[in-house]
Amino acid sequence: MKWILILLLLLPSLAAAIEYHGENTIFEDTVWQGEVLIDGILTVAMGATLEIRPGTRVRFTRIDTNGDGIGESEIFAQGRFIARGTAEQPIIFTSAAQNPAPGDWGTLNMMLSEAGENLLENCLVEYGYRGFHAHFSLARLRSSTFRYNQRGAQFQESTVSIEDSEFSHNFNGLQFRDSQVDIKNSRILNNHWGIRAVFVELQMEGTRVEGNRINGVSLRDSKLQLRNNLIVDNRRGLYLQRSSGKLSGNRITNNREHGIYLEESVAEIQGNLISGNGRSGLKTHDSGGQVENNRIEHNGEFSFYNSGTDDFEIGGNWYGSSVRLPQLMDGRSRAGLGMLQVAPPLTRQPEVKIF
Amino acid sequence: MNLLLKHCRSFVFILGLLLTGCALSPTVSPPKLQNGTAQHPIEISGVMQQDLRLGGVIRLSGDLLIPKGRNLQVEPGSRILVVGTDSTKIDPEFLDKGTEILVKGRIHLAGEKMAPVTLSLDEETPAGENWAGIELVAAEEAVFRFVDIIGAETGILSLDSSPQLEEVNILGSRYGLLLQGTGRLDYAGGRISGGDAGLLCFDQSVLNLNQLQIIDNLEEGLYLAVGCTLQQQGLLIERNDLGAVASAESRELLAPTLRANRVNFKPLAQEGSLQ
Repeated sequence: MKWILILLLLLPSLAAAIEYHGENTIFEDTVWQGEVLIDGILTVAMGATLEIRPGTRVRFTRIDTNGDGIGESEIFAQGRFIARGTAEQPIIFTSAAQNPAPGDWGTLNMMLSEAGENLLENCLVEYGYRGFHAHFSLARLRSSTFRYNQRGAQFQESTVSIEDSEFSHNFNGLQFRDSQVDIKNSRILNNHWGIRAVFVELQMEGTRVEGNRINGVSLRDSKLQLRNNLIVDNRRGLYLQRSSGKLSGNRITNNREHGIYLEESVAEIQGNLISGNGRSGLKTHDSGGQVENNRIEHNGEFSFYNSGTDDFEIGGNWYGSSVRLPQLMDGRSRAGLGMLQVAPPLTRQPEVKIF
Repeated sequence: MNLLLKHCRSFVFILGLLLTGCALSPTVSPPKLQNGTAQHPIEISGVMQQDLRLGGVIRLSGDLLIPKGRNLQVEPGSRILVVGTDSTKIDPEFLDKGTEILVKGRIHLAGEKMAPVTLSLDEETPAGENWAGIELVAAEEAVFRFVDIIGAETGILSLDSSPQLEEVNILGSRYGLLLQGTGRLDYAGGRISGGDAGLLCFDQSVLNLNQLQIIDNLEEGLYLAVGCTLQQQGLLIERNDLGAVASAESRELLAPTLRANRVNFKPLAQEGSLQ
């Protein structure tokens, strides 16, 4: 008897394991610590707060009743969701399967949760369908990692701040629509899509977008500010459609196709390094803006490619030396294309300030 | 001796069970052919839950995912009509905003010379919209024979896959065929024509091209990044803007294939990029 008591004292986490089976709702403020198993859908009702303490591990069982390959266990927060781990004791959201796979469980779902900011800090979110999902919500993601999900995170009609976080090895990294999103000092690595968004305002600074198979950053009908980011080794680096953008101090290099592709967009591109991209440094299609004081060097086929019918003006840039001219593709080479009006190259290499 | 005999009997008994089991176990039969008509096409979309064998008129009304372990077989003479999506779509299930066929399992488009399989836009598609194309993502198998792929964003996107194409025409697609990652492309006969770019290889695939024609594309006919390996026989690259863009060392290999392009050969930048 004495030994059993000692064993129980030594295994507090097992003794305190929390399990939810089927559909459940939390109506009162609730705190989790230790081991939690979600085997179904757990709703946090409006007015209630779910707080998760450092070191907690939340596991989700795989339930796929409609056979679509997407797990259905999830947390559905209409109230407030606060998961605050520490660097030493992160909070883990993961699959309960022995051989976990992306999409084993649904999502950490914030729905109409605007009363207070929802928070994930020092969390690891893995093997979900959408690691994190917000709809009409406020959220802050800090120092957290989202990996091996079908989508790292997805927002609609939300205001989301992301700092010091990583989205890596998801099928797609970040997708959002009709939202205001601020990304700082983060890493978006080795997904198929890095960032894809429409109708958004995105500010991104000090962030590394690398190794994404399709596009690094792709926005449509949106506004963008990019400062001091590293956008490297994606297929397309930055793709803007019907959007406007300001880009400064970014290093946009070694993307397989185009460093920057503007389609019916307007962009101020100043003080960036655009180098080593496979097809072109900057491709424009019926777009406008200012392109000056950049270093544009060693791109595979062309420095600038105008595939639209509108002309495009390019200011003074540095092309590797004071006498070196950019490689151009425009109406001079193919009838029907717009012209590139290119100012003389800079005589001194501009300083490109990159983090 | 008794022990040996006992073991022998056990062995024979187990062998017998195995043989009987093999004889009695149900064989995996191919899926039943489903045939659509213009009035009543077979409608498909979503995640394929079982192997499918389709013929006649097939309507792809939304994204289709062929997961690992699943097989889509399409019979000779089939017409796959793809309903394109308008460009306000933000929540693509898979890779593209347009309607796509994403293959992680197996796809067999088995046309014949007089009865090719065609994939093109359905008339309900809003004007100006493309469909995404066929996307192979570490696909288990992709075999296309006598197939016409028309008006896609990217006719075939192959990520870490090894498609086998015979007499495949990719027509009027923004990108004809795009290879990323590793894998091997075997492409015999057919043409890639009327798009922006013909065949692009970005990483480390092996291309085995035999009697392929890459013609009349607005930008590059063939783009080979440094890590791609080309083997070719009877390749023709004609009337593109840039015939071939590749490392300077490939110039000699490609020279006999290049004809009447605005610029027949453009070497990739040699200086290397700045880090």
